[in-house]
Amino acid sequence: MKLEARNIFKSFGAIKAVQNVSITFEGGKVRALVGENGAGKSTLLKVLAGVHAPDSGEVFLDGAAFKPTSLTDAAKHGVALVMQETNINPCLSIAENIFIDRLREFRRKSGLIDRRRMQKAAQGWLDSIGADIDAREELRKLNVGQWKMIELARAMSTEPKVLLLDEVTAFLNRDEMESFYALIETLKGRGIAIGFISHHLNEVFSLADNVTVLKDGCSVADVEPQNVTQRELERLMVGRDIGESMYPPRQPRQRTEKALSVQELHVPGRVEGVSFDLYSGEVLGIGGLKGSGGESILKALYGDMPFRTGTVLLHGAQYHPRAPFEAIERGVAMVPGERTLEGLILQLSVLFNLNLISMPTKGLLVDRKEEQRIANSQVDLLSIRTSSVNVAVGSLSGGNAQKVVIGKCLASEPKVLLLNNPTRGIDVGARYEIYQIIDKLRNDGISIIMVSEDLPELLGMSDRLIIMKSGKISKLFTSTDGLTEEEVISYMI
Amino acid sequence: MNTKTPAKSIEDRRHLANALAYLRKYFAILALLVLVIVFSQLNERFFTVRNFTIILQQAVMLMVVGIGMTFVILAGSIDLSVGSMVGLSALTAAIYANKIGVWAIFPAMLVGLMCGTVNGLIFAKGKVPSFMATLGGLVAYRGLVLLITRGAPVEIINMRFLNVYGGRTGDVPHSVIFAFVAGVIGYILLNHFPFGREVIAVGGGENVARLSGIKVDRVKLLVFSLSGLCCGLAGVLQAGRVMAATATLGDGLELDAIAAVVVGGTPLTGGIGSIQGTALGALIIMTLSNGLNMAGVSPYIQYIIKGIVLVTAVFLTIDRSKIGIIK
Repeated sequence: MKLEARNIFKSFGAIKAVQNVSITFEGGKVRALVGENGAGKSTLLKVLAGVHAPDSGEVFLDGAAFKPTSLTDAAKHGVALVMQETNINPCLSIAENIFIDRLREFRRKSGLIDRRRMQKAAQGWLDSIGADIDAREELRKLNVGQWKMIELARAMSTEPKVLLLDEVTAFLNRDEMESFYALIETLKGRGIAIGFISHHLNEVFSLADNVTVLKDGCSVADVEPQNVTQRELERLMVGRDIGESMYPPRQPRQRTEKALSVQELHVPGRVEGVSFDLYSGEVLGIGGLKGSGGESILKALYGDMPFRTGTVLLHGAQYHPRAPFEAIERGVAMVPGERTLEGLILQLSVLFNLNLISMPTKGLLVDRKEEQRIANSQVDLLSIRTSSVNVAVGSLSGGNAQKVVIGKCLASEPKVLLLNNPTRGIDVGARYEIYQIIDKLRNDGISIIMVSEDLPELLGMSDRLIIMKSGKISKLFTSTDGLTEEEVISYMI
Repeated sequence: MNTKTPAKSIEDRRHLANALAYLRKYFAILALLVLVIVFSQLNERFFTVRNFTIILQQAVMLMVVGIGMTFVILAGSIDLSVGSMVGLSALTAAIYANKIGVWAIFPAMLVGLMCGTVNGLIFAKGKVPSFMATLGGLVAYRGLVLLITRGAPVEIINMRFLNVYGGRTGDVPHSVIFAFVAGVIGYILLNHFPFGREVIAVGGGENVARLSGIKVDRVKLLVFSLSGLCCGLAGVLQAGRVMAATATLGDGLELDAIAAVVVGGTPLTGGIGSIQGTALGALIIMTLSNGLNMAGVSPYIQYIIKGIVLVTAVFLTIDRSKIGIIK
């Protein structure tokens, strides 16, 4: 089967999301879509799968005009999409989530639903994609990666001829990733056409037969991965050369001044007796599998998760925050892991969001001039690309929105900065800029703890690196020079 | 040629979106103007200074209660107990007016503040959803009024109290001045105090606000205290105007107050809104009642018209792109 789109245009208000893009997905072939955030990748897939109607342009499925009106309608014709946004209703069961638009197929004669049959079918689809999930499990007990696998099972259960995947690997752990790669190979063998979006270029190189590069809504290149290097691909995406390395060079640092000293940190059920020191002007990386305790350490140190402890000393003084405001008063700030749920109020302005933590006052009143100054200076400092500080932060691209979260923290002039996956879901260009910012902060003497699921990032940015395994520290690397990913992973599992 | 068609339709749509945004921004003013023009045609006595003064006076209670309600709704909550708090405050004012005259405003506002704070504590500390916490307040505070009055009105005989809160200087009713001052204070509190920013942040995203170091529970408590305080003032002014506190004073006010806030451009989802909008909303509701009365429309039909106008107002003005999920 062959899905072919010609001259697709799609705009949202003033934003031209997709402009004159033509693309073909052929049976038995894998096509990757890459590009910066806001390049139009997700919109394009949504147009193909019936979520959005194109403003103009045509789509053909095996030569016949294809105009799906919804995801369900597209799936009926054999085109399935797993969207980037989580599309799982935690109030329903796993089986109900998978068959949500086909519940009637499981009706008994009496009109009631045959739950057992539905559950069995759901389990079958989960097993077929290699997901290690029991269909009877409660959704709330599963993590986001497992939710993604369930969404994948839902897409597969429609028995698609064309499978479109939007950043499904972003939240998968290593095992899930392995079964995902295996699944792609199997589907390819069965002659299914596959299109996927990814920010992980190594994934693109190992899976894809063709790569389409999108930039600012336009298709700028259609290449075969064996004919390009990673750097060339990055240049096509960003439109300029990123240079030798993604990561700024590290200078040897003297660890003299202890900013934070953690002794025997316990977070009930998550972290068991973790001890480490954080020095001024260093980036301390924390790696590990999802749920191994890194994020919990950050939350505990930010007062967002109760902890029992031996002692935590901040600049030599007792530190035990019970709420985020206590951490902020002591000069500790956190960039949370979920940008849109924890970091930003999307409908409010860039200015409002940037001043959310610092909230400058003059006497009893808000200092509006200072608010303006803080916003403008952070926009300059972090090169946040926005038409004005008064636009809603939700209209910014992912990378720029993340810079607003960082700016919000920096405006409070923290001494200790906690970063939770600071570049998750962010394109190469913005990622590079964020690394530059982190490096600058480190040189200014700010102490940084960075939890990340991105191994190259941890190796590239950390001065020292802690690896967590089931709530405990399994290894502390005092230098990351010459360290390989394989070596680090061996301490995670 | 083919590529030009979508560009043009997009342009058209953008014009439409701009026009709609414009309509939303000035809707309250436009709606008020339309009402005034229509009612002026229906009855010549409508467009007179005397009648406008009456409308203003009638709108005072709604405006003052609406100030507190705006903060509550901005923070993403709801206060259903305002009518009962106004009733209890008015009763307190009436009882004390006959003892301590004009100073009765203090016990009355204190009672309002206390009721509001109780609501706030149950909501913020007890984690009972504000809808339920204040629904309880609505019933309980009204019960208190009935218990004290046994259903009979308490008349105010202290002339100084009636002069200060119910009287007028020249053509200007004092209650309107009180409402105006309260509105200005509310405006400054919302736009120039950190508290206003915090309320908007809590309404816009509670988790984000908490992680940004805002004391969310304190903000939640304070908006309900503030709502109670506003009800206290409204109770005093209303008692001064009708020269008594009746057992049913303020009955059903919560719906008008919520309507005034929403018609004034503050959606129930919180995070966006203004005090001046609420003041206009209150005026619209009162102009509608007044105009329909003067046009001789039966009170039963008035209810129907009011309902239709309110829903239409929200239908036309709500910015669906900003709110996302409508519940």
